[in-house]
Amino acid sequence: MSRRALPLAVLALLSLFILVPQLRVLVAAFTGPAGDPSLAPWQEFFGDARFREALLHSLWLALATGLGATLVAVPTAYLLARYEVPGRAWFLELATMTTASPPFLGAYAWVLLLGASGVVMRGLRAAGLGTPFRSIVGPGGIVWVGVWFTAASVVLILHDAFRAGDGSLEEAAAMAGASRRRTLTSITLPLALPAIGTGFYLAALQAFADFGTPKLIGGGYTTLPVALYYEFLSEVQRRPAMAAVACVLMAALSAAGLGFQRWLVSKTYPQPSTRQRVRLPLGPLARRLGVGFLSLSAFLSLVPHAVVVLTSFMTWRAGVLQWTPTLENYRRLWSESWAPIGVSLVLSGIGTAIAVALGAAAAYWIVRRRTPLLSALLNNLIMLPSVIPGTVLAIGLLLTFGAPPWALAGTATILVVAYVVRRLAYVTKAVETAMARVPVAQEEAAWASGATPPRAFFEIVLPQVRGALGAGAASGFLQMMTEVSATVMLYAVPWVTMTVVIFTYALQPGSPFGVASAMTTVLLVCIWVPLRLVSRHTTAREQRAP
Amino acid sequence: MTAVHVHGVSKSFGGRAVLQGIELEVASGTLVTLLGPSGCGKTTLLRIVAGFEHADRGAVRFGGVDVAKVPTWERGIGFVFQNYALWPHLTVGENVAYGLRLQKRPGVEKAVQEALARVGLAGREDAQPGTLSGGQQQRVSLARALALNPRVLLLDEPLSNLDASLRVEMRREVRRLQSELGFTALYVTHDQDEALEISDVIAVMNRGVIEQLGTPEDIYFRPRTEFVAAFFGEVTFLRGQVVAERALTLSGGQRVETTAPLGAPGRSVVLAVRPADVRLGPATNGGWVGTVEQVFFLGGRRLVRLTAAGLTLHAHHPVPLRPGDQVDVTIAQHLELPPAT
Ligand SMILES: Nc1ncnc2c1ncn2[C@@H]1O[C@H](COP(=O)(O)OP(=O)(O)O)[C@@H](O)[C@H]1O
Ligand SMILES: [Mg+2]
Repeated sequence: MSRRALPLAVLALLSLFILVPQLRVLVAAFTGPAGDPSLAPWQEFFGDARFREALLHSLWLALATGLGATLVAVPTAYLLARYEVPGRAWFLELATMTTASPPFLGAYAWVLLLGASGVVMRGLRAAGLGTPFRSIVGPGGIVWVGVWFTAASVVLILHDAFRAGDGSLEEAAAMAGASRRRTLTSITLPLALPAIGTGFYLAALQAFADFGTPKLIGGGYTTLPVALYYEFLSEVQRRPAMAAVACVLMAALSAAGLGFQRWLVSKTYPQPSTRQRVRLPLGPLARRLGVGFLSLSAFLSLVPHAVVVLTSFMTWRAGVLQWTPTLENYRRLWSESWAPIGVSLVLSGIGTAIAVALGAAAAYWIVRRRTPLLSALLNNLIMLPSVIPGTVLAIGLLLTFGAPPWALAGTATILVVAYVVRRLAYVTKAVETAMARVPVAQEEAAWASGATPPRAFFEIVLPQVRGALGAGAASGFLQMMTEVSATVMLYAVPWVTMTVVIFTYALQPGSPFGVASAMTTVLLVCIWVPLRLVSRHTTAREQRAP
Repeated sequence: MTAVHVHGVSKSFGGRAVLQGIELEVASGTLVTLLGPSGCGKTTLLRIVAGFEHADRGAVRFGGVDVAKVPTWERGIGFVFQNYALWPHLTVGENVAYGLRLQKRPGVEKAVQEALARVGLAGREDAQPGTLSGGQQQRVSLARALALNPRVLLLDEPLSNLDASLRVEMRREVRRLQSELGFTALYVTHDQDEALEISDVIAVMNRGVIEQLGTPEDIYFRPRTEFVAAFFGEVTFLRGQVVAERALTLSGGQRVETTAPLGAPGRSVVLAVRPADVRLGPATNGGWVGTVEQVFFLGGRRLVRLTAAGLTLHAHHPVPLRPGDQVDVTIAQHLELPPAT
């Protein structure tokens, strides 16, 4: 067997599940009603006020959320990275935890609190106080939730950027007579600009592609993913070509965003880094203000988690919260809805195993570049889904594999395929970085000692990237556990995941919200356990490093 | 007997020829060194012998058998890398045992102990490679390769990452091991002192070809090209015509006396003159006069750089001189290069 046979087989497999579906979408977007090549779908799309509006709405939401998250994250990250703030490690840990929330969690929880009949709103009215607004439902609510959902990830990215370098550039500016503010605006922020751009891009992309939040808290505010969902799943008048146009537009806009982010990152300057950057002390007032600000951001990011955990232990009557503690929700969850827990765990578990196996192999072929063209193809193929919104990905899979002879619609297989395709890039990138640190000579030394290349891979290379592999697996697993946008398009009974149940309950007034909260709490536990393992591992590794 | 025979090997990377028709025989039980400046193709040749790279043309034979189809892991070689390439997740003992276990040999533990003892690391089986010094790591790497009794041991600048004094100590140790165990080795270095000291045979390489192959004495005393002669220290080339038994006229017209005879007058010659071959004396009338440019203090002696008749010469000289001093230059010894072909 040629040494290229295996990578070629993997390349073919990935092309089938990644490239073919997206090409299928692309073709559908340029196919007229008679099956001829045509621009008709585009004319129809832009001729339809609903779609034009959805497009504008999505763009607006993306920009507003990106901006909001950046405004929150820049001062937070700057404080944590540059100053001795009490509880610093703790705030960072909270941020890491928050990044692993299910994407719809915020919407669900904030509606429970600030919806027209939300707990806080009722409380305010009962106390005879007015409410500042009728309900959080609407575009403002989408942005509010989006900002707090994405801010934590942006904080982590910016924290690393503000930690980079050893501070000698700032010291030089200070010695040249620049004031603190001048140093901040002329040295520190420009140096962090690529990272700020990256954070903005990630928050905006998340808001642009998010299906769950606008669906739950938008109150009929149409965004592209939501329009797409109805267009594609509507029983009455299904127009796949419309959906395809929307898909192509979304993928193209996401890719344009990525292009912009890459361009910004290419402007990164390496900073001198001969020693650890020292954190500066804060004066007493600044210290109080800083801690206050950090606590407020942490609080707002964590409100959703607190709300679901708390309300899962409270009694609900006809969709209204009673302040009586109970375990009834968990009892009902166990007796009525345990199956989705099993489905989520099994599907995500299988998906993670496949993603880890493929990711480790792909990372190896990409890093070693023994056949440069193959490495490049593999790399691009694996990265492709990271700019494709989950909804778009699901539609591609349905168009390609939904009907016979594949007939995969509604099967567990198509869900696992979607999970693997969406998360393979993350696992691969995590492993790649670690693998690049294993010198080729170590492998060659193993060959010279009589080990065949597969044996050298398993015995010499893999053991050295175990940590990264574990981290990739854990983050892949928790992302699969919380996946919504592709899942709601692809699932069918009996393959109902926890996210689908929670999502469905959250959409219907009068649902057993207690059970939904209990299930969300279980989901949070399922994802926090692996996350803890990862962050403990990462900390241990960092401490071991010289 | 020939252990490794490299026959007509050529190799290019991206259209650029890196090796051109290399011919080399490594006799059993000898240490052959590939010596040459950085980028001349030494590593590439060694990697072709190891099977990490493949020759575009030519053949590599082990004991007379073409190994083109034999992958590295079946060639029975040992390889020592410049950066040690120890496996950091295994202990020192496990590093040495790895290949032995693959061969399913009995008595692995004892073999590991012996291998480590040989390189002066007895009892360090349980150490983590990362906790050892560079020199110790390279010893482990050597023990790991030697434990397998390779048909040929390939070493790619194994001492280049060590500091100067350790380098000298280690090359003596490599030589001692080689004499004791009698293994066959192909050794790559760019350090001429190292090559002179440890080799049975040196192959001086330049731009993908072997310029000269011979014993260290051959290479040092009978260089066949200016490149080889220039590789060992600050050499000045005197080009001219023999005008008397012990004198020649340089192409610039300057007459230069030599202490050693030059043969028949009328011949065109190229002489290579090393710093130790040049004697300096007080300037007198009629001699070859040079001007001191710079003086380097080297501890036991001084190296003087001077210009004479438009040439730059280097000379060893015991007593201080100052830049600008005028001195008489005599050529006490010289090497004559064979006429260029
Ligand atoms: N894998 C490769 N791809 C392209 N060029 C290479 C590769 N390996 C070596 N070269 C080039 O071949 C030349 C010889 O390299 P090498 O054999 O490493 O020289 P040396 O070991 O004598 O310093 C160098 O110019 C180097 O850049
Ligand atoms: Mg080299």
